[in-house]
Amino acid sequence: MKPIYWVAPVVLAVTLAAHGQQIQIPASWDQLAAKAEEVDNVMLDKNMLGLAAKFMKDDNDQDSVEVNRLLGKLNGIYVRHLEFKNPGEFTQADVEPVRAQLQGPEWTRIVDVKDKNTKENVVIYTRTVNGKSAGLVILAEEPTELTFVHLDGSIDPQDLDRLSGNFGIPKDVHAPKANPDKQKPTGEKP
Amino acid sequence: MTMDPLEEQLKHALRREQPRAGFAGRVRARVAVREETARRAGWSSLPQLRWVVAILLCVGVVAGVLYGHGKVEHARGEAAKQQVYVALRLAGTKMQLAESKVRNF
Repeated sequence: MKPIYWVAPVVLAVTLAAHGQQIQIPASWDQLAAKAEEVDNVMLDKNMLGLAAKFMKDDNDQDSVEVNRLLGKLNGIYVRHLEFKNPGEFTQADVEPVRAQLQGPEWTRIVDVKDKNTKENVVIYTRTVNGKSAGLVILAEEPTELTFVHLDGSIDPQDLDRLSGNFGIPKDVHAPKANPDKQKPTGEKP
Repeated sequence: MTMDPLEEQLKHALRREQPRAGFAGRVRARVAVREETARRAGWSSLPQLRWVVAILLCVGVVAGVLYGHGKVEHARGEAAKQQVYVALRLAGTKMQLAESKVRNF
């Protein structure tokens, strides 16, 4: 019998697909990070989330219980946040490769807000697999900030509502209501 | 004058006899070996004490390794926890920004 060399890559691909989908951040963000005043880079896979959850359990308060419940739903947390001193440090060319990865059939753009006055643009995507939520991505462009947040797992925006007011999450955060028309922006402010 | 048989036997038994050749050398060699063995054995000639020291050393090494591993694990866990908070804070902040924009339309 011939050895089947392609089995291993296929198994690996299926396993990766089953365990979530990581969005690739373009290399240009690393160059931007060198210019940024503040950089946050979070890469937590399932194992690291488990470790974080273990240490939150030790805190033993209600808020930590709530975060633990959330972490239990996630396969990973991936964040890139760049804060610059001056506006105009990044361009659409830096953001487009990220957007392009969020165009697949599993991704739905539930909120897309563009404010031309303040030059702020926030897009929230959700990922659905077999009718179940499988991830949330927030991509925010502001004059001096560029933020990418990927919560990989069965999470929906309302899960974050419950944490508002704790851990530095602003109070009264309410997830914007999902737009039923897929890929349709919620609005554009002139 | 004749000796009685008992006296004869005693005289025979107690007669002076020359040792075989090399006797003194053999005695000195045996003494030297015994002294060397005793010097090498020292405190460890007590087998129970030797085991106790060996076990204590093993326990000490294992405890040290576990303590070091625990400290590293604790540092990793705390760092992961802080990263979770950073991620949630940023997610919440940007969601609030989106919400405020939607509300203003």
